Amino acid sequence: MLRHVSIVNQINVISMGIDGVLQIGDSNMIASRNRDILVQREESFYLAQEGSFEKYVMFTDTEITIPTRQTSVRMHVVNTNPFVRVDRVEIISLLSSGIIHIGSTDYVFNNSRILQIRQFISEDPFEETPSERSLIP
Amino acid sequence: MNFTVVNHEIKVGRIKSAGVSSSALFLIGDANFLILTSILDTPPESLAAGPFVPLVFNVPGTPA
Repeated sequence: MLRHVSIVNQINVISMGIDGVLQIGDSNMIASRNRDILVQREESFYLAQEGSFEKYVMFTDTEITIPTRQTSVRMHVVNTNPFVRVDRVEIISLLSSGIIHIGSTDYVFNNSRILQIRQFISEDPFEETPSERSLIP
Repeated sequence: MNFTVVNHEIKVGRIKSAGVSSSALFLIGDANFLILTSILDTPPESLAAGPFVPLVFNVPGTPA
């Protein structure tokens, strides 16, 4: 298949975090995997030894299916113009197996699993404080 | 089944995006085959109140 040539005049990425990829140029295969445990605590508190991916079913489960190709369609693409032009791209953040790719690729496999845990000191963290209550008419 | 696509001129002015995350792909160009999967789990068991303790393990997974 004759591929496009991508032309981008200007690209602006403000923040790149864990496992973010900015690829300029063609690629053949990308396989990006990302595993996160997010712990949000009411007060800043850090135990260096805690946290283990193996202890959570979500990270070890092999039953979670990944879609496979199921098609009998034979696709034929004709590119009468060999260029894809974009004047300007502005992206604020890029993270967790997120990819910006300028150029053509053949195969991309991205896989991201994120577990979020919240811990509060107060018994009822969603109880309204007196100041919040006074705002309600 | 045969499927024919004819691409004429592809030209874009300006793209603004707040975030590309969790297995998202922002692609300017061609691709043949893409598999993008993402799971974000916040199970009810993950909400813990009371004094801080180390992370609770063996949190049940989300049913398939």
